Amino acid sequence: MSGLASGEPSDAILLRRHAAGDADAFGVLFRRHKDRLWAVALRIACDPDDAADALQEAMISAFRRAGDFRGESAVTTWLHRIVVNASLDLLRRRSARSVGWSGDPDDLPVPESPPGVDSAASIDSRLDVDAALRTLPPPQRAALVLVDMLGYSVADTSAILGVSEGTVKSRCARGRAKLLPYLAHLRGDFPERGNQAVADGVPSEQGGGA
Amino acid sequence: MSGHWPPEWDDPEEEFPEGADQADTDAEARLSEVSAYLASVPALVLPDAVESRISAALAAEAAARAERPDPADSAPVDGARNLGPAPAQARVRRRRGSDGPRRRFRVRPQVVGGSLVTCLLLAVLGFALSHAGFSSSSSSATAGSAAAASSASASSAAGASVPSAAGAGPQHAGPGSPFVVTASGTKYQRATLAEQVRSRLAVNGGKQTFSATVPAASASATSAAAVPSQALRGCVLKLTGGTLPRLVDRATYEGEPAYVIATASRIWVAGSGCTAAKTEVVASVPLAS
Repeated sequence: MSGLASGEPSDAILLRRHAAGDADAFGVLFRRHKDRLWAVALRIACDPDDAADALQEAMISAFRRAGDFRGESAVTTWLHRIVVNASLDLLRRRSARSVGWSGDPDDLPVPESPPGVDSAASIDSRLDVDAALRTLPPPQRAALVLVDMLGYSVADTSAILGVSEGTVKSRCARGRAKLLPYLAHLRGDFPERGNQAVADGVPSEQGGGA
Repeated sequence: MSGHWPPEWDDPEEEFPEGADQADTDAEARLSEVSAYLASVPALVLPDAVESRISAALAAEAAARAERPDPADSAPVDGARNLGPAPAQARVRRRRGSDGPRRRFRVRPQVVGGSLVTCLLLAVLGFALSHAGFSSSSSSATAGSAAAASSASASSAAGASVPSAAGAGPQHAGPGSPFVVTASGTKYQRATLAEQVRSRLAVNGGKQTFSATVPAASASATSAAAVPSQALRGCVLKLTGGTLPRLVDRATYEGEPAYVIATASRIWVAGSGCTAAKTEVVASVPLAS
Protein backbone atom coordinates (compact mmCIF):
# COMPACT_ATOMS: atom_id res chain seq x y z
CA MET A 1 0.00 0.00 0.00
CA SER A 2 2.82 2.32 -0.77
CA GLY A 3 0.60 4.23 -3.14
CA LEU A 4 -3.04 4.66 -3.91
CA ALA A 5 -4.59 3.44 -7.09
CA SER A 6 -5.88 6.10 -9.38
CA GLY A 7 -9.13 7.52 -8.15
CA GLU A 8 -8.83 6.14 -4.65
CA PRO A 9 -9.45 8.77 -2.01
CA SER A 10 -6.62 9.58 0.34
CA ASP A 11 -6.83 8.82 4.03
CA ALA A 12 -7.46 12.44 4.85
CA ILE A 13 -10.33 12.61 2.40
CA LEU A 14 -11.84 9.46 3.83
CA LEU A 15 -11.62 10.86 7.32
CA ARG A 16 -13.24 14.08 6.22
CA ARG A 17 -16.03 12.14 4.54
CA HIS A 18 -16.53 10.13 7.69
CA ALA A 19 -16.69 13.25 9.82
CA ALA A 20 -19.21 14.66 7.39
CA GLY A 21 -21.45 11.64 7.83
CA ASP A 22 -20.35 9.18 5.16
CA ALA A 23 -21.25 5.82 6.67
CA ASP A 24 -18.73 3.83 4.67
CA ALA A 25 -15.64 6.00 4.71
CA PHE A 26 -14.25 4.86 8.02
CA GLY A 27 -14.66 1.23 7.09
CA VAL A 28 -12.58 1.79 3.98
CA LEU A 29 -9.94 3.49 6.09
CA PHE A 30 -9.91 0.61 8.55
CA ARG A 31 -9.61 -2.03 5.87
CA ARG A 32 -6.83 -0.09 4.20
CA HIS A 33 -4.62 -0.16 7.29
CA LYS A 34 -5.95 -3.10 9.26
CA ASP A 35 -2.94 -5.35 8.88
CA ARG A 36 -0.42 -2.79 10.03
CA LEU A 37 -2.64 -1.69 12.89
CA TRP A 38 -3.11 -5.30 13.89
CA ALA A 39 0.63 -5.84 13.82
CA VAL A 40 1.13 -2.90 16.15
CA ALA A 41 -1.53 -4.09 18.57
CA LEU A 42 -0.39 -7.70 18.56
CA ARG A 43 3.31 -6.97 18.91
CA ILE A 44 2.68 -4.63 21.82
CA ALA A 45 0.00 -6.65 23.57
CA CYS A 46 1.72 -10.01 22.93
CA ASP A 47 -1.65 -11.74 23.09
CA PRO A 48 -4.14 -12.15 20.24
CA ASP A 49 -7.19 -11.70 22.45
CA ASP A 50 -5.81 -8.59 24.05
CA ALA A 51 -4.70 -7.27 20.67
CA ALA A 52 -8.16 -7.80 19.24
CA ASP A 53 -9.72 -5.95 22.15
CA ALA A 54 -7.22 -3.13 21.89
CA LEU A 55 -7.66 -2.75 18.16
CA GLN A 56 -11.44 -2.73 18.43
CA GLU A 57 -11.31 -0.21 21.23
CA ALA A 58 -8.96 1.95 19.20
CA MET A 59 -11.07 1.85 16.06
CA ILE A 60 -14.21 2.78 17.97
CA SER A 61 -12.32 5.62 19.54
CA ALA A 62 -10.99 6.84 16.21
CA PHE A 63 -14.46 6.55 14.72
CA ARG A 64 -15.90 8.76 17.40
CA ARG A 65 -13.08 11.26 17.53
CA ALA A 66 -12.47 11.78 13.85
CA GLY A 67 -13.67 15.33 14.26
CA ASP A 68 -10.69 16.03 16.49
CA PHE A 69 -8.24 15.29 13.73
CA ARG A 70 -6.73 18.52 12.51
CA GLY A 71 -4.36 17.24 9.89
CA GLU A 72 -1.17 18.09 11.73
CA SER A 73 0.10 14.58 11.11
CA ALA A 74 -0.67 11.81 8.68
CA VAL A 75 -3.93 10.00 9.27
CA THR A 76 -2.00 6.77 9.70
CA THR A 77 0.17 8.35 12.36
CA TRP A 78 -2.99 9.39 14.18
CA LEU A 79 -4.49 5.91 13.84
CA HIS A 80 -1.32 4.23 14.99
CA ARG A 81 -1.12 6.54 17.95
CA ILE A 82 -4.60 5.56 19.02
CA VAL A 83 -3.82 1.87 18.61
CA VAL A 84 -0.60 2.18 20.58
CA ASN A 85 -2.42 4.04 23.35
CA ALA A 86 -5.19 1.48 23.44
CA SER A 87 -2.70 -1.36 23.60
CA LEU A 88 -0.66 0.23 26.37
CA ASP A 89 -3.80 1.18 28.28
CA LEU A 90 -5.01 -2.38 28.06
CA LEU A 91 -1.69 -3.69 29.30
CA ARG A 92 -1.77 -1.16 32.09
CA ARG A 93 -5.21 -2.28 33.15
CA ARG A 94 -4.10 -5.85 33.10
CA SER A 95 -0.67 -5.27 34.54
CA ALA A 96 -1.40 -7.88 37.17
CA ARG A 97 -1.12 -10.41 34.39
CA SER A 98 2.42 -9.22 33.67
CA VAL A 99 1.89 -9.99 29.97
CA GLY A 100 5.03 -11.97 29.78
CA TRP A 101 7.24 -9.26 31.17
CA SER A 102 8.87 -10.99 34.08
CA GLY A 103 12.04 -9.01 34.05
CA ASP A 104 13.92 -12.26 34.32
CA PRO A 105 15.51 -13.29 31.03
CA ASP A 106 16.11 -16.77 32.40
CA ASP A 107 12.42 -17.38 32.04
CA LEU A 108 12.81 -17.27 28.30
CA PRO A 109 12.84 -20.55 26.45
CA VAL A 110 16.01 -20.55 24.41
CA PRO A 111 15.92 -23.36 21.90
CA GLU A 112 18.95 -25.39 21.03
CA SER A 113 20.96 -24.17 18.11
CA PRO A 114 19.25 -25.38 14.97
CA PRO A 115 21.42 -27.79 13.03
CA GLY A 116 20.21 -26.48 9.72
CA VAL A 117 17.66 -24.29 8.14
CA ASP A 118 14.32 -26.01 7.90
CA SER A 119 10.73 -25.08 8.52
CA ALA A 120 10.85 -26.06 12.14
CA ALA A 121 13.82 -23.82 12.66
CA SER A 122 12.03 -21.02 10.94
CA ILE A 123 9.06 -21.39 13.23
CA ASP A 124 11.41 -21.54 16.18
CA SER A 125 13.00 -18.32 15.03
CA ARG A 126 9.68 -16.56 14.92
CA LEU A 127 8.76 -17.87 18.32
CA ASP A 128 12.10 -16.68 19.59
CA VAL A 129 11.39 -13.19 18.33
CA ASP A 130 7.98 -13.17 19.98
CA ALA A 131 9.39 -14.48 23.24
CA ALA A 132 12.27 -12.07 23.16
CA LEU A 133 9.99 -9.11 22.56
CA ARG A 134 7.99 -10.04 25.62
CA THR A 135 11.02 -9.43 27.80
CA LEU A 136 10.97 -5.75 26.95
CA PRO A 137 8.95 -3.22 28.91
CA PRO A 138 5.93 -2.31 26.76
CA PRO A 139 7.03 1.26 25.95
CA GLN A 140 10.38 -0.02 24.75
CA ARG A 141 8.67 -2.80 22.86
CA ALA A 142 6.37 -0.32 21.15
CA ALA A 143 9.28 1.77 19.91
CA LEU A 144 11.17 -1.24 18.62
CA VAL A 145 8.12 -2.68 16.89
CA LEU A 146 7.36 0.57 15.12
CA VAL A 147 10.89 1.32 14.02
CA ASP A 148 12.45 -2.07 13.37
CA MET A 149 9.52 -4.31 12.56
CA LEU A 150 7.19 -1.90 10.79
CA GLY A 151 9.78 0.38 9.27
CA TYR A 152 8.57 3.69 10.64
CA SER A 153 11.06 6.51 10.83
CA VAL A 154 12.19 7.73 14.22
CA ALA A 155 10.34 10.96 13.58
CA ASP A 156 7.07 9.18 12.80
CA THR A 157 7.53 6.90 15.78
CA SER A 158 8.16 9.92 17.93
CA ALA A 159 4.87 11.38 16.76
CA ILE A 160 3.02 8.12 17.31
CA LEU A 161 4.36 7.55 20.80
CA GLY A 162 4.28 11.17 21.84
CA VAL A 163 7.88 11.20 23.02
CA SER A 164 11.02 12.87 21.74
CA GLU A 165 13.07 11.41 18.94
CA GLY A 166 15.92 10.96 21.38
CA THR A 167 13.75 8.84 23.60
CA VAL A 168 12.71 6.73 20.63
CA LYS A 169 16.34 6.18 19.67
CA SER A 170 17.23 5.34 23.22
CA ARG A 171 14.38 2.89 23.62
CA CYS A 172 15.26 1.19 20.37
CA ALA A 173 18.95 0.94 21.20
CA ARG A 174 18.26 -0.47 24.63
CA GLY A 175 15.66 -2.81 23.27
CA ARG A 176 18.02 -4.17 20.64
CA ALA A 177 20.72 -4.63 23.24
CA LYS A 178 18.33 -6.61 25.40
CA LEU A 179 17.21 -8.74 22.49
CA LEU A 180 20.71 -9.51 21.27
CA PRO A 181 21.43 -12.41 23.65
CA TYR A 182 18.17 -14.09 22.74
CA LEU A 183 18.57 -13.74 19.05
CA ALA A 184 22.30 -14.40 18.87
CA HIS A 185 21.78 -18.05 17.98
CA LEU A 186 19.90 -16.89 14.90
CA ARG A 187 22.75 -14.78 13.60
CA GLY A 188 23.26 -17.12 10.72
CA ASP A 189 19.74 -16.27 9.66
CA PHE A 190 20.20 -12.55 9.99
CA PRO A 191 19.68 -10.75 6.73
CA GLU A 192 22.11 -8.25 5.38
CA ARG A 193 22.14 -4.98 7.22
CA GLY A 194 19.47 -2.47 6.61
CA ASN A 195 15.82 -2.22 7.24
CA GLN A 196 13.60 -3.51 4.58
CA ALA A 197 10.60 -1.39 3.86
CA VAL A 198 8.22 -3.54 5.82
CA ALA A 199 4.66 -3.97 4.71
CA ASP A 200 2.97 -0.98 3.29
CA GLY A 201 5.36 1.90 3.19
CA VAL A 202 5.63 4.89 5.40
CA PRO A 203 2.71 6.77 6.83
CA SER A 204 3.65 10.15 5.46
CA GLU A 205 3.03 8.81 1.99
CA GLN A 206 -0.42 7.75 2.85
CA GLY A 207 -2.35 10.78 2.01
CA GLY A 208 -2.44 12.17 5.48
CA GLY A 209 -2.04 15.60 6.58
CA ALA A 210 -4.13 17.21 3.96
CA MET B 1 4.43 8.73 27.70
CA SER B 2 6.36 7.86 30.82
CA GLY B 3 5.40 8.21 34.43
CA HIS B 4 1.91 7.00 33.69
CA TRP B 5 2.40 3.28 33.86
CA PRO B 6 3.59 0.65 36.28
CA PRO B 7 7.07 1.37 37.60
CA GLU B 8 8.50 -1.78 36.07
CA TRP B 9 7.73 -0.41 32.62
CA ASP B 10 10.08 2.50 33.06
CA ASP B 11 13.64 2.39 31.94
CA PRO B 12 15.47 4.81 34.25
CA GLU B 13 18.10 5.56 31.66
CA GLU B 14 15.86 6.09 28.68
CA GLU B 15 15.92 9.85 29.00
CA PHE B 16 19.62 9.90 28.20
CA PRO B 17 19.73 9.15 24.54
CA GLU B 18 23.34 10.22 24.28
CA GLY B 19 24.30 6.82 25.60
CA ALA B 20 22.90 5.24 22.52
CA ASP B 21 25.26 7.19 20.34
CA GLN B 22 28.32 6.31 22.34
CA ALA B 23 28.25 2.61 21.65
CA ASP B 24 31.36 1.29 20.03
CA THR B 25 31.30 0.41 16.39
CA ASP B 26 31.25 -3.33 16.89
CA ALA B 27 28.37 -3.19 19.31
CA GLU B 28 26.56 -0.88 16.98
CA ALA B 29 27.00 -3.35 14.15
CA ARG B 30 25.58 -6.17 16.25
CA LEU B 31 22.60 -4.07 17.24
CA SER B 32 22.05 -3.27 13.59
CA GLU B 33 21.90 -6.97 12.94
CA VAL B 34 19.13 -7.27 15.51
CA SER B 35 17.34 -4.43 13.83
CA ALA B 36 17.69 -6.06 10.43
CA TYR B 37 16.51 -9.38 11.76
CA LEU B 38 13.41 -7.85 13.28
CA ALA B 39 12.71 -6.16 9.98
CA SER B 40 12.84 -9.51 8.25
CA VAL B 41 10.07 -11.00 10.38
CA PRO B 42 7.09 -11.55 8.07
CA ALA B 43 4.27 -9.04 8.30
CA LEU B 44 1.13 -9.99 10.15
CA VAL B 45 -2.32 -10.22 8.67
CA LEU B 46 -5.45 -9.37 10.62
CA PRO B 47 -7.44 -12.59 11.15
CA ASP B 48 -10.81 -12.66 9.42
CA ALA B 49 -12.65 -13.27 12.67
CA VAL B 50 -11.20 -10.16 14.26
CA GLU B 51 -11.82 -8.11 11.15
CA SER B 52 -15.44 -9.22 11.09
CA ARG B 53 -15.89 -8.41 14.72
CA ILE B 54 -14.43 -4.92 14.39
CA SER B 55 -16.32 -4.24 11.18
CA ALA B 56 -19.54 -5.18 12.98
CA ALA B 57 -18.67 -2.90 15.86
CA LEU B 58 -18.00 -0.05 13.45
CA ALA B 59 -21.26 -0.75 11.66
CA ALA B 60 -23.04 -0.56 14.98
CA GLU B 61 -21.32 2.73 15.69
CA ALA B 62 -22.37 4.06 12.30
CA ALA B 63 -25.95 2.98 12.91
CA ALA B 64 -25.98 4.60 16.32
CA ARG B 65 -24.53 7.78 14.89
CA ALA B 66 -27.16 7.85 12.18
CA GLU B 67 -29.91 7.49 14.75
CA ARG B 68 -28.53 10.04 17.16
CA PRO B 69 -26.37 12.61 15.44
CA ASP B 70 -23.65 13.77 17.77
CA PRO B 71 -22.42 17.31 17.39
CA ALA B 72 -18.89 16.11 18.07
CA ASP B 73 -19.06 13.70 15.15
CA SER B 74 -20.50 16.08 12.64
CA ALA B 75 -18.28 19.06 13.39
CA PRO B 76 -15.99 20.24 10.65
CA VAL B 77 -12.39 19.11 10.67
CA ASP B 78 -10.93 22.05 8.85
CA GLY B 79 -9.60 23.67 11.94
CA ALA B 80 -12.71 25.55 12.90
CA ARG B 81 -12.81 23.60 16.12
CA ASN B 82 -9.56 23.86 17.98
CA LEU B 83 -9.83 20.74 20.06
CA GLY B 84 -6.14 20.07 20.24
CA PRO B 85 -3.99 17.60 18.44
CA ALA B 86 -4.24 13.87 18.39
CA PRO B 87 -5.01 12.18 21.68
CA ALA B 88 -1.60 10.92 22.72
CA GLN B 89 -0.08 14.30 22.28
CA ALA B 90 -2.82 15.84 24.35
CA ARG B 91 -2.15 13.34 27.08
CA VAL B 92 1.53 14.17 27.15
CA ARG B 93 0.85 17.85 27.38
CA ARG B 94 -1.52 17.38 30.28
CA ARG B 95 1.16 15.55 32.21
CA ARG B 96 3.90 18.04 31.62
CA GLY B 97 2.22 20.50 33.91
CA SER B 98 4.96 22.61 35.37
CA ASP B 99 7.21 23.27 32.39
CA GLY B 100 4.86 25.12 30.20
CA PRO B 101 1.58 26.91 30.03
CA ARG B 102 -1.23 24.62 30.98
CA ARG B 103 -3.93 23.90 28.52
CA ARG B 104 -7.32 24.41 29.91
CA PHE B 105 -10.01 21.95 29.14
CA ARG B 106 -12.63 23.57 27.04
CA VAL B 107 -15.93 22.36 28.32
CA ARG B 108 -18.60 22.50 25.72
CA PRO B 109 -21.96 23.04 27.40
CA GLN B 110 -23.93 21.27 24.72
CA VAL B 111 -21.85 18.11 25.06
CA VAL B 112 -21.95 18.13 28.86
CA GLY B 113 -25.65 18.78 28.82
CA GLY B 114 -26.27 16.03 26.35
CA SER B 115 -24.19 13.58 28.35
CA LEU B 116 -25.99 14.43 31.56
CA VAL B 117 -29.36 13.98 29.96
CA THR B 118 -28.25 10.67 28.48
CA CYS B 119 -26.91 9.45 31.82
CA LEU B 120 -30.10 10.44 33.61
CA LEU B 121 -32.24 8.70 31.02
CA LEU B 122 -30.16 5.54 31.25
CA ALA B 123 -30.27 5.59 35.03
CA VAL B 124 -34.04 5.97 35.03
CA LEU B 125 -34.38 3.24 32.44
CA GLY B 126 -32.16 0.87 34.39
CA PHE B 127 -34.02 1.55 37.62
CA ALA B 128 -37.36 0.99 35.97
CA LEU B 129 -36.28 -2.25 34.39
CA SER B 130 -34.72 -3.58 37.55
CA HIS B 131 -38.05 -3.09 39.29
CA ALA B 132 -40.20 -4.26 36.47
CA GLY B 133 -38.35 -7.53 36.08
CA PHE B 134 -35.67 -8.45 33.65
CA SER B 135 -37.79 -10.58 31.34
CA SER B 136 -37.21 -10.30 27.66
CA SER B 137 -35.79 -6.83 27.67
CA SER B 138 -32.73 -7.63 29.71
CA SER B 139 -30.49 -6.75 26.85
CA SER B 140 -31.89 -3.26 26.85
CA ALA B 141 -31.20 -2.97 30.53
CA THR B 142 -27.59 -3.62 29.88
CA ALA B 143 -27.36 -1.22 27.02
CA GLY B 144 -26.57 1.67 29.29
CA SER B 145 -23.76 -0.07 31.03
CA ALA B 146 -22.45 -1.38 27.76
CA ALA B 147 -22.50 2.04 26.25
CA ALA B 148 -20.81 3.47 29.30
CA ALA B 149 -18.12 0.82 29.26
CA SER B 150 -17.66 1.26 25.55
CA SER B 151 -17.43 4.99 25.91
CA ALA B 152 -14.91 4.78 28.72
CA SER B 153 -12.76 2.35 26.82
CA ALA B 154 -12.87 4.40 23.68
CA SER B 155 -11.94 7.54 25.53
CA SER B 156 -9.06 5.75 27.09
CA ALA B 157 -7.83 4.53 23.74
CA ALA B 158 -7.94 8.01 22.40
CA GLY B 159 -5.58 9.24 25.00
CA ALA B 160 -7.78 10.32 27.86
CA SER B 161 -6.42 7.35 29.76
CA VAL B 162 -9.59 6.72 31.64
CA PRO B 163 -9.34 3.36 33.37
CA SER B 164 -12.14 1.01 32.56
CA ALA B 165 -14.67 0.50 35.28
CA ALA B 166 -14.09 -3.19 35.63
CA GLY B 167 -10.72 -3.44 34.04
CA ALA B 168 -12.13 -6.01 31.71
CA GLY B 169 -11.64 -4.41 28.38
CA PRO B 170 -14.24 -3.22 25.97
CA GLN B 171 -17.79 -4.43 25.93
CA HIS B 172 -18.49 -3.56 22.36
CA ALA B 173 -20.92 -5.58 20.41
CA GLY B 174 -19.44 -8.21 18.20
CA PRO B 175 -20.80 -10.77 15.82
CA GLY B 176 -21.71 -14.24 16.86
CA SER B 177 -21.36 -13.76 20.60
CA PRO B 178 -23.06 -16.64 22.39
CA PHE B 179 -24.08 -14.65 25.45
CA VAL B 180 -24.33 -11.18 26.81
CA VAL B 181 -23.16 -9.60 30.01
CA THR B 182 -25.41 -7.97 32.53
CA ALA B 183 -24.31 -5.35 35.00
CA SER B 184 -26.82 -5.80 37.80
CA GLY B 185 -24.75 -4.10 40.44
CA THR B 186 -25.58 -6.94 42.81
CA LYS B 187 -23.31 -7.11 45.82
CA TYR B 188 -22.65 -10.80 45.92
CA GLN B 189 -21.49 -12.27 49.19
CA ARG B 190 -19.74 -15.54 49.90
CA ALA B 191 -22.39 -16.78 52.33
CA THR B 192 -25.32 -16.06 50.05
CA LEU B 193 -23.76 -16.47 46.61
CA ALA B 194 -25.85 -19.40 45.41
CA GLU B 195 -29.02 -17.85 46.73
CA GLN B 196 -28.30 -14.53 45.06
CA VAL B 197 -27.56 -16.22 41.75
CA ARG B 198 -30.75 -18.23 41.94
CA SER B 199 -32.60 -15.00 42.54
CA ARG B 200 -31.02 -13.45 39.50
CA LEU B 201 -31.93 -16.45 37.40
CA ALA B 202 -35.44 -16.53 38.82
CA VAL B 203 -36.02 -13.03 37.55
CA ASN B 204 -35.86 -14.56 34.11
CA GLY B 205 -38.14 -17.40 35.00
CA GLY B 206 -35.27 -19.82 34.88
CA LYS B 207 -34.94 -19.38 31.18
CA GLN B 208 -31.69 -19.11 29.38
CA THR B 209 -32.08 -15.44 28.79
CA PHE B 210 -28.62 -14.82 27.52
CA SER B 211 -28.36 -17.45 24.88
CA ALA B 212 -29.40 -15.41 21.90
CA THR B 213 -26.60 -15.03 19.44
CA VAL B 214 -26.22 -11.46 18.36
CA PRO B 215 -26.68 -11.34 14.62
CA ALA B 216 -23.74 -9.77 12.92
CA ALA B 217 -25.92 -8.16 10.30
CA SER B 218 -28.05 -6.32 12.78
CA ALA B 219 -26.13 -3.23 13.59
CA SER B 220 -28.75 -1.82 15.90
CA ALA B 221 -29.03 -5.09 17.73
CA THR B 222 -25.31 -5.29 18.31
CA SER B 223 -25.20 -1.77 19.55
CA ALA B 224 -27.86 -2.51 22.15
CA ALA B 225 -26.34 -5.66 23.60
CA ALA B 226 -23.61 -5.90 26.18
CA VAL B 227 -21.60 -8.42 24.30
CA PRO B 228 -18.49 -9.58 26.10
CA SER B 229 -15.02 -8.76 24.96
CA GLN B 230 -13.12 -11.56 23.33
CA ALA B 231 -11.04 -11.98 26.46
CA LEU B 232 -14.10 -12.31 28.67
CA ARG B 233 -15.72 -14.66 26.20
CA GLY B 234 -12.66 -16.87 26.38
CA CYS B 235 -12.71 -16.70 30.16
CA VAL B 236 -16.35 -17.72 30.43
CA LEU B 237 -16.15 -20.55 27.95
CA LYS B 238 -12.98 -21.80 29.59
CA LEU B 239 -14.69 -21.94 32.96
CA THR B 240 -17.87 -23.52 31.71
CA GLY B 241 -16.09 -25.94 29.45
CA GLY B 242 -17.88 -24.53 26.46
CA THR B 243 -21.30 -24.73 28.01
CA LEU B 244 -23.48 -21.71 27.43
CA PRO B 245 -23.73 -19.70 30.64
CA ARG B 246 -27.10 -18.80 32.08
CA LEU B 247 -25.69 -15.76 33.77
CA VAL B 248 -22.68 -13.53 33.29
CA ASP B 249 -23.08 -10.63 35.64
CA ARG B 250 -20.61 -7.83 36.15
CA ALA B 251 -20.95 -6.92 39.78
CA THR B 252 -19.01 -7.09 43.02
CA TYR B 253 -18.13 -10.07 45.17
CA GLU B 254 -17.15 -9.40 48.75
CA GLY B 255 -16.80 -5.79 47.71
CA GLU B 256 -14.41 -6.42 44.83
CA PRO B 257 -15.28 -6.04 41.14
CA ALA B 258 -15.96 -9.45 39.69
CA TYR B 259 -17.84 -11.43 37.11
CA VAL B 260 -20.36 -13.92 38.43
CA ILE B 261 -20.84 -16.70 35.93
CA ALA B 262 -23.36 -19.47 36.24
CA THR B 263 -24.40 -22.51 34.31
CA ALA B 264 -27.27 -24.76 35.30
CA SER B 265 -25.10 -26.57 37.81
CA ARG B 266 -22.25 -24.34 38.95
CA ILE B 267 -21.28 -20.81 39.81
CA TRP B 268 -17.92 -19.20 39.31
CA VAL B 269 -16.73 -15.86 40.54
CA ALA B 270 -13.88 -14.52 38.45
CA GLY B 271 -11.80 -11.41 38.78
CA SER B 272 -12.47 -8.50 36.50
CA GLY B 273 -9.36 -9.29 34.45
CA CYS B 274 -10.48 -12.81 33.69
CA THR B 275 -9.29 -14.34 30.43
CA ALA B 276 -8.99 -17.83 29.04
CA ALA B 277 -5.32 -17.83 29.92
CA LYS B 278 -5.87 -16.60 33.45
CA THR B 279 -9.35 -17.09 34.77
CA GLU B 280 -8.75 -15.45 38.14
CA VAL B 281 -11.36 -17.61 39.83
CA VAL B 282 -12.18 -16.27 43.25
CA ALA B 283 -14.86 -18.77 44.15
CA SER B 284 -16.65 -21.73 42.62
CA VAL B 285 -19.65 -23.38 44.16
CA PRO B 286 -22.35 -25.72 42.92
CA LEU B 287 -25.68 -24.25 41.99
CA ALA B 288 -28.16 -26.48 43.68
CA SER B 289 -31.65 -26.28 42.32
